[in-house]
Amino acid sequence: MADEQRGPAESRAGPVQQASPAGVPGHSAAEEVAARVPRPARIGPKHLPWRVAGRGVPRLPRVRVRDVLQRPGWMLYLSLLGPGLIAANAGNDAGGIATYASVGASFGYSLLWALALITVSLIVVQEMVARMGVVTGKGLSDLIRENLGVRWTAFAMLALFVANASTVTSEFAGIAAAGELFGIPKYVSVPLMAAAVWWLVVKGSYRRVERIFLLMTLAFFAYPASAFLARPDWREVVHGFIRPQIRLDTEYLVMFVALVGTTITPYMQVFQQTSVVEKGLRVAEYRYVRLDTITGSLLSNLVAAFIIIATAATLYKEGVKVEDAASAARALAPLAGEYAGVLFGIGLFGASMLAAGVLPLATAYSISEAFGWEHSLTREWREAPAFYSLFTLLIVGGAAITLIPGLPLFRLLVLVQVINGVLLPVLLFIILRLVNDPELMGEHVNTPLYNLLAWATALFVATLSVVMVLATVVLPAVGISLAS
Amino acid sequence: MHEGVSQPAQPLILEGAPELRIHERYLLSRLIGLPLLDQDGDAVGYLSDLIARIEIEGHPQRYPHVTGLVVRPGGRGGPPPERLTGRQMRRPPPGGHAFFARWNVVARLDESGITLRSTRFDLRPFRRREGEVLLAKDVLDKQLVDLRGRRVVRANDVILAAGEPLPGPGAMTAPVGSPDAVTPTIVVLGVDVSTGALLARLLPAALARRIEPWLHRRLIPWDDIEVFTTDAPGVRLRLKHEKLRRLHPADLAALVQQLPRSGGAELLAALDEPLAADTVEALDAPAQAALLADMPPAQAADILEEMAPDEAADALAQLSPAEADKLLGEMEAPEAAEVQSLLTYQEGTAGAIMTTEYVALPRDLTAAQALERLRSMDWLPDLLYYIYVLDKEPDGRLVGVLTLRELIRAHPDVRIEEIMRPEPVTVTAETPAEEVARLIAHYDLVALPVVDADGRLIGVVTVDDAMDVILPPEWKRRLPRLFS
Repeated sequence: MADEQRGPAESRAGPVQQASPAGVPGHSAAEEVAARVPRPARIGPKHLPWRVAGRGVPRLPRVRVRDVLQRPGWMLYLSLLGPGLIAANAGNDAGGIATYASVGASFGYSLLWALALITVSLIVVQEMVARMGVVTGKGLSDLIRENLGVRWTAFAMLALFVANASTVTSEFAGIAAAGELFGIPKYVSVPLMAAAVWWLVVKGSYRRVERIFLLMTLAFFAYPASAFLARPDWREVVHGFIRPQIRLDTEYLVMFVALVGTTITPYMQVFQQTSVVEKGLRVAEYRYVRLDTITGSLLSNLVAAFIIIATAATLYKEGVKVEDAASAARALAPLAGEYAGVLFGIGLFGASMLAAGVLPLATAYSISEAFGWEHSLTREWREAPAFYSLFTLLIVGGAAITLIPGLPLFRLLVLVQVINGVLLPVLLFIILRLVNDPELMGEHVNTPLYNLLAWATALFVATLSVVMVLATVVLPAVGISLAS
Repeated sequence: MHEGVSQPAQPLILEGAPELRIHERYLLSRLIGLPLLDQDGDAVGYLSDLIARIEIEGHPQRYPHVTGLVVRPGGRGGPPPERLTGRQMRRPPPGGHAFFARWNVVARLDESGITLRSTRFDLRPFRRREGEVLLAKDVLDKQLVDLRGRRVVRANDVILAAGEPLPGPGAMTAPVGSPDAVTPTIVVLGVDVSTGALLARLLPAALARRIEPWLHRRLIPWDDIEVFTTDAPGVRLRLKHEKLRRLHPADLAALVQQLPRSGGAELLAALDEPLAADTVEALDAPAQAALLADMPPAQAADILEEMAPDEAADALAQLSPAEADKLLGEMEAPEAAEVQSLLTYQEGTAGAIMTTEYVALPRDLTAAQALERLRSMDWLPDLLYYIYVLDKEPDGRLVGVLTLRELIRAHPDVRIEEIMRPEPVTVTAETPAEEVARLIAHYDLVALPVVDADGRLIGVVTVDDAMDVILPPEWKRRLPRLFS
């Protein structure tokens, strides 16, 4: 009878093989040990009453390597690449594209050297926050609150809120600009997309549509191709990289600050640290985190450089200033010809939607965390009112500002980056204070050389912001104007 | 006399403190920074922290006593005020390190400062004693666990009271810091987690006092609070956290995920092994791996031994081979072998998701004998639904299955092979997990036996593990990780 037993099992499960798969080396000895162990009668003090009940309660979701591997290809790509690349690439959002395009169109290759310097600064800054995440296991706003007291927290969170609210506004401006490329008025596209983003995020299905937006941003990979096809003078490009030049006219200063602000955006630091913490990365894995941060920053700024080169080789040469999305799109003409507008519109829409979903959520999350408000999408509105209100305010407010009639959308995209650039030093000084606290970081505080680089970045950005504000706001107010 | 520092007795509703007669209430945030005055009213330093004994011999105190203070000599950061120089500063050196004083040096506490009985201080550096916390450093602004709300909260303020114990059950039996009756006894009532408390600290003191009547302060009694580690690497509050045992493992797991990494590790370390194992089982696999890798290996091994073998194998599979081997080496041999045998199966097969916890009996037992065997087993699986029937013992082949219900209802003298269902559906260890899930769903099973090439039972796949395989991915993300 026992022999008959095996019949159905075999037919269902295919040919019966050796219990452990071949090709898993080094375990055969363990298998032998395992085989000798009497199986059913396991002994252990496992008869506490709730153990039985405990088995029946719903578990927290379990994510295994297998699940990651079964996700669609791009998710795999993202899981492998890590937080550094994602955080750095978040810099190439609608505002980033607009800023790089404007820089290329207005100043040709002459700000490329700044981009190279900013890349070093970006690596330094992102590495510091990643290190803090790995060592402390806490998010940035959490660290600020626990170590700097309530007043500093309030100040930092206010700065973060202003910076991020501006950036959210710029994402909606990006949606509006992309819509207009396809002839859709912003009064239709912006409210519609704001409602869609709010609903998708709150209902938890944003993750499912996210991949579509991400795919759309691949359109921006047309820039490197376009840059080559436009046949730029590569000698001039190299000169742009290695020959620093500072001009004191207002437009140049504004674009410089915008370039800094969009490349090292305050929310990227918050994002990077939180994502390192959420991935549970530890000090032992730190060298991977650092590698990921460096490659991420380099790659994303390489794309930025190509955007500048492509626009410089086309629009700057023709003397066209970037006034709207249509003119910015012309930099893609060497590759896409008459479809340049479509390509640019798709990329701009995807990038804007990506950030419009993540950024309000991340901002509400950070601020709620700092102030001790309940913050989770798994809570109901009445359980986490502050969190949901902040999230809603950011989306509704950002969309509403974009709807002001006659607002120059593309200009707005760049101006927001200026705000980010001005507020960046606040966060940089706070980061420097935290990362050098031995009680927090132990042996992982900054080395002197590293501190030199980091302080140089912070002071340079701060000085630049002050000079820019002087040149654009204060001096004109007292009747002095710099050559423009 | 206590205006400003103390709270009017009315707005604070203190539930469940019948054993305490309270004279005054104080907010920690307003005590910190008060000058310490000698008998002549001259400042000798400033209060920088209060020490409270929250556990005595491992037992949590309902109203922990303030047992000491940390004093910062001299002025706030800068040079000491004029009057600190000279005679008064003989003992605490100006600008020196913070030092510790016992609470019994305090003679009086009011708005103008803390008057000391003597300015003779023990200048040895402060060392935490068992059960002690620093209220400003470890509690204020930190994330704490609210045991009643089963959630992580942030302490926006700590509420203290000067009072005396009333006789009665549960009255304070702790030794008061001072044998001197004149020293006021200060106890910790609880923490304030309201946004109002935050607002009061943000505003200038005068304004904060004015809005106090409108603030909705929310006190969480200390009895419902658990405190976790400080930021300082290597510094662990040596606390027993006895109160955590009130919570269900599923709630504990949710708390572990909400707390920063160090707090989560401390929470787990405070639980006894069966409870810790159930808590770890309720976490997702990456979180399990991160926690286990951070723990001392011996402790991690103890927890792994207590876990269901399939869960333990899943957790180990997330670690690097070296780390997994180290933990397996620390485990007791039988458990290690069992887990290791599960680890040899490839991802996505029945072997990888099966457990070795099941009950199998030989076919020739009567129902009464079978029940007697079950009763006398030292240990039974959490989920006991099926009893597998083998042709002989030990190492018999699987010939049938019966449910526990059938066994209970059967006539005591009937042999189990007569009531078992022969030819059960089985799979081999190599069967794809999806196929296993499909079979379980198709035949409506609670568990599916896994057999080796000879038809011997090697494990079972339970329905919960099978569901993990086929559950739609978005279901698992109902508890979304925000950034990763």
